[in-house]
Amino acid sequence: MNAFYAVAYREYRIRLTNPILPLWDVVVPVVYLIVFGSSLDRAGFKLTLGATTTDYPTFFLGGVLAMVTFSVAMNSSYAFFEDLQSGIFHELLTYPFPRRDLLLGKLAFNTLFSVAGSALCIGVGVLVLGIAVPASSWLPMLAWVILGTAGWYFVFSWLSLRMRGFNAYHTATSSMYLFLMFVSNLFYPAATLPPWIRWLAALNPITWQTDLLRYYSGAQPWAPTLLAQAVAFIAFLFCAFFFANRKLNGPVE
Amino acid sequence: MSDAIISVTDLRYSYRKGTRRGEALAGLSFSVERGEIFGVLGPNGAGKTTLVRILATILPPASGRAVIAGCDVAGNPLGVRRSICAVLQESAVETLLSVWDNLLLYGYLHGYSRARTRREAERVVELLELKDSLRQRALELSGGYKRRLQVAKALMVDTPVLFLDEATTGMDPLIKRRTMDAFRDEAARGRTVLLTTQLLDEAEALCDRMILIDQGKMIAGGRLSELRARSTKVFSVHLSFTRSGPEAVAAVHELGARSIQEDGGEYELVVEGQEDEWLQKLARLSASFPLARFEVRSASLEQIFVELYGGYPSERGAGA
Repeated sequence: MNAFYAVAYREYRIRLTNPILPLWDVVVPVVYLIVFGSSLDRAGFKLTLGATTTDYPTFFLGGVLAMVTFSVAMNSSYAFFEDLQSGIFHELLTYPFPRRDLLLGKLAFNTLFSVAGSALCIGVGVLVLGIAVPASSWLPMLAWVILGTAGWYFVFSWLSLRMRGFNAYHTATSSMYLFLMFVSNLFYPAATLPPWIRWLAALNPITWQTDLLRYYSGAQPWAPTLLAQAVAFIAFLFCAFFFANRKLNGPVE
Repeated sequence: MSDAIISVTDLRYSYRKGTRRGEALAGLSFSVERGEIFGVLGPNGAGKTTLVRILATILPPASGRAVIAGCDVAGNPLGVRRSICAVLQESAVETLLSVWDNLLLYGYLHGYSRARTRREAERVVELLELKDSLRQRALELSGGYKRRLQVAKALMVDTPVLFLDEATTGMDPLIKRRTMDAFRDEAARGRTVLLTTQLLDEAEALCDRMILIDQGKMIAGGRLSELRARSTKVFSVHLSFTRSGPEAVAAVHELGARSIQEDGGEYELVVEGQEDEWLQKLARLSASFPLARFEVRSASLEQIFVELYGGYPSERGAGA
């Protein structure tokens, strides 16, 4: 069996032993979308992004999709940390294939959860919350979901390979999770943030990804900054891959 | 012409733990020929595991060179990995998966087809008596059983080189014997086995050649007979008296042996010196207290080990 598929198969077998975790990745964001989307919509929230005024569910859909990618990426990369703890990790490093296949095979399987979670969110958004997502946007949205999952997965994989001890790992990842989600435009427009946080949010790749997803979901109009954000996100993804791959190929005590 | 499949030259590795720095390997050189079972022996902290980790491409060497099957561990680690498989000291099993799934996965991850993986898995299940626990999660296995599973995985594939880092730790005697037979069979088929161990009886029974290392340096190496030749001054004497008594026992203690063990009137003395000198001492002893039996034996590996390391760890004040 090809190494890439074998790694993806390993991930599948391991994930099967604990179906709650993937379910969490897929179901929780859609619950967020329904609860926040419908309640804030009923409260009459309207947001203006550029020349477009939009309701909260439409605005929030892009953020929820970014949340899906972020959660799946974090939980997938946690498996590296578990492998280190269980003792199998060093053996995995001796297997006869490039170590990047470990990264990519694991990513390939877990991306399925991102795609499933995102499709569910879009479906619920359209059917339950009445969000008008253009059919032509579905594919670009899923593409950005996949790219987003990959980018954050590489970041958290790098982190997992560096951290030792459950407490240190969970403190670091939980802090990052909260910081990156709240210092961004995921729940609210970045323009409404205090100026000093707005700058941080503008530098946060979640903001770039969310803006792109919002553009495709029809929540915000085209702006030249979107192109820069797309390029920046791709650069972020490659940098994250470079560091994660380097860590995996370097000495792991 | 040498048929070395593993060639290690002046290998060094330094580590840093907090503010403490140390040299785990301090210029180690040796070579292993194809089809050999080669032992790396040493006390805790000697550098055995670091050596295996470097050879298995988990750690990069600080300097020096290690070449396996023509591939440099630093320059072509993937080439090395295609020629090796390793049983590492950690309990390297997929804890969440069953024993059977562990085996299947190992085959797939080594590029085997489904049919070949299944065939090889069935073979090692039979070989190492894993049938009763196939559906059990690896998490639930005892330490010894996990080691058995690790060894079974390594025996599934046919890489030219097999690294075993204290592979039989925790195994029950019967399975250990079966495992050691399996290692011998692998070597007989041309597979090269490099094993680290602290179990001297295991090294004595298995290894064609071995090196003894301490603090990252080689202190002796060669075949067991060559190691024995290096420590000619140590050998063991077994004796018993026709009529033992307190005077005879006192006379044995006055002989000046390094150690004396008594078991039901049989004495085992580990002695130093020339063999003829000891034969004369025994003749004198026999004149006063007639001997029923005596036997002079070459030093065991344990005795050589103790001599070369300058005593037991407690005697030389060594830590781990």
